[in-house]
Amino acid sequence: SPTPCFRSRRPPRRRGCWPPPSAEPPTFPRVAVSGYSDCSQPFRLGERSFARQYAHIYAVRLAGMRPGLERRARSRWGNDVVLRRLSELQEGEKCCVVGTLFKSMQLQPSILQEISEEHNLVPQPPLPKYIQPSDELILEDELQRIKLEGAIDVQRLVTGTIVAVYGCEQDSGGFLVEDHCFADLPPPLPWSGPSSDRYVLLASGLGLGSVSGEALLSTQLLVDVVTGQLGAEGEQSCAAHITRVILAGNLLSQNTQSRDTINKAKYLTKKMQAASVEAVKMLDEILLQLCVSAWVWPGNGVPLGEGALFLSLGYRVAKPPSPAPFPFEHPIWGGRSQPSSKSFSRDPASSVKPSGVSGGKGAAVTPGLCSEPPWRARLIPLCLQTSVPVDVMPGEFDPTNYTLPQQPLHRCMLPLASAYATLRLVTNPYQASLDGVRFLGTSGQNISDIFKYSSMDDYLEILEWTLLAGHISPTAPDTLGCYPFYKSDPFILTECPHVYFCGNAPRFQSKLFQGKEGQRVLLVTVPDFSATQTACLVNLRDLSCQPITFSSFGADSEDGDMELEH
Amino acid sequence: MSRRAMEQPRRITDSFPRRRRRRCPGQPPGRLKNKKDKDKVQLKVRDCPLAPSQPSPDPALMEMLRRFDLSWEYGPCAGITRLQRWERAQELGLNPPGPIRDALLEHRDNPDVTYSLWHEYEL
Repeated sequence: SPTPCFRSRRPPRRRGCWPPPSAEPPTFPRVAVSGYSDCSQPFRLGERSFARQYAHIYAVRLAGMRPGLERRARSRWGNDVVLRRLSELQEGEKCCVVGTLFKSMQLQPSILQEISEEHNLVPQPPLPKYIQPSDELILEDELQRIKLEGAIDVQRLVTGTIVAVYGCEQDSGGFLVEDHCFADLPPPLPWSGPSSDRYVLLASGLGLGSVSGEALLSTQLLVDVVTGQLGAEGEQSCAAHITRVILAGNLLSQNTQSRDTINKAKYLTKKMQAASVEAVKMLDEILLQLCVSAWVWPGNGVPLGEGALFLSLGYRVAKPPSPAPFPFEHPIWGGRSQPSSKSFSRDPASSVKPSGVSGGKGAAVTPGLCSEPPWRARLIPLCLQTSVPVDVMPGEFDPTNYTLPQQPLHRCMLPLASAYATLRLVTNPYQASLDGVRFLGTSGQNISDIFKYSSMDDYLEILEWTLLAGHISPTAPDTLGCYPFYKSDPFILTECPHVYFCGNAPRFQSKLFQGKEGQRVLLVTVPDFSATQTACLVNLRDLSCQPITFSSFGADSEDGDMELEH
Repeated sequence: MSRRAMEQPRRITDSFPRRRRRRCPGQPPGRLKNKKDKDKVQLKVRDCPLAPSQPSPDPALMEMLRRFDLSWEYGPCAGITRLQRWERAQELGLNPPGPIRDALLEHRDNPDVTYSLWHEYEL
């Protein structure tokens, strides 16, 4: 089992946890980010045209994956296996056919059933799973389709998977399957990971804007751990090894998706503000803390270390006496005259210019800003070198487009945080190379959609299955919204990632998967933070992963500090 | 003020006579696409599809393009231009015939050549 990061780095305990008063507080510079390259170009959509049918995406999916599947079929059933199209099938001849699966399910929600007024049917309520014993699998290629029977698990497979089946056609018209295979893992990428410990924090489902604020303290603790404001020197030195934070979707809670403006009368909703507006403001502040992460105790310029906990717990700061208003008169948020718990001022007196420059210069703190007593002070961003790069992926409930691939959140929604180059707004799915390690992941919509239409119950099992099937989300566009691509299907896996994750899973699971051609993939299901208060730390050196839970005021924790689980 | 003006708001275009969109002879039956398509400006009222300045393409060429549209090997044809379909087939390694691409590039300005057989029909 991998050695836990924080435990192994803890220095020997001194008597008492506070350093002697005269000692200089130690600083732990964050490890420098050596290599980052964004590989999500196929998921970015420029000009969008929806004047197309989805036949194109299925055609390119089959045409793109057919050569790989034919190779796999030959290696599995012999080089002399007969490859036929459905139109060339002869009855009784054993052959191999490559095609797209279609599962016809009785319970699958269909728009036609909903609008059948003559039958007076009530629309079907959403179910956790839509599978039934009477479901059938049908194989389709470019021209024909045929029903599949035999050694193929109908309940487990989903529509849209490209599969090669081996068997023969029966006189009843169906195809009797003796064996089948999928595209299997794509070819491996060369490994050039770091030689020392580097961590990436994966978290998803922050769920801001929900009715209950239980997860807010845990979110604040998460931010404090990453920025090194929590814990003794051991934990702070560990936090300095976190090179990146990836937020995998569902930053906003499902509660922000109220459709009151559609259902209620206009005169009732005239002055209502969408719940997502407040939630995005909260998100902006949280991201700001991550992107600019050293805070100064005004008056003496000493970076906050261990004493920062009580300041981080987000109590209200009084309205500043100076007439300096909040800098933005933003068209969406308007001017903010009442700053929230952590306000900061871009007073021209301070020499910090956070206009997209990372690794900035130190600032001289002008005493004029700090005339209030210390606990009422405003926190002023000082040293930009300790900020952590944050990649923000949109999820199901976030204000971006619904269809996959989801485009990045627009930077005008995050006016405070998007000024810093450490914030990257990325697509869902997201692919990037961090320090030589290839990450690929989604916010979980693909996995949860397969969960609904398959008998597989375990999110990690489904994640592994999508890797073996060679496609990130086979159910798109059938049951999951997808852009009508025509040229190529960007969800086909062409290179094997080193870390493959999905967000918003019910619980944390991870597995190091070894492929036949030497591929090593770390599969991680990132749990929903608002429900489980758990995030994941991935060590890039040896592809190990451990959860980190921020339980607050639980039954067995003493003072709301962080806990580690293995 | 007349009662009619009170009943519904008047538009500037009310003063122009309304005319039905005429279909040019030789067009296939079906709904005409709406005016949003900038490239199809020629299909408006009183205009015929072919611009008179360009030489009309060979009927044999049109037949070849129609056969390219209807051949199933290169994937679906509706919703994309013929050139896009040709390039997609080329990238997937399906070896579409070269003369088709030359013809498409030569008659780039002619909507009958660039768009597929089913272009006039709605989705």
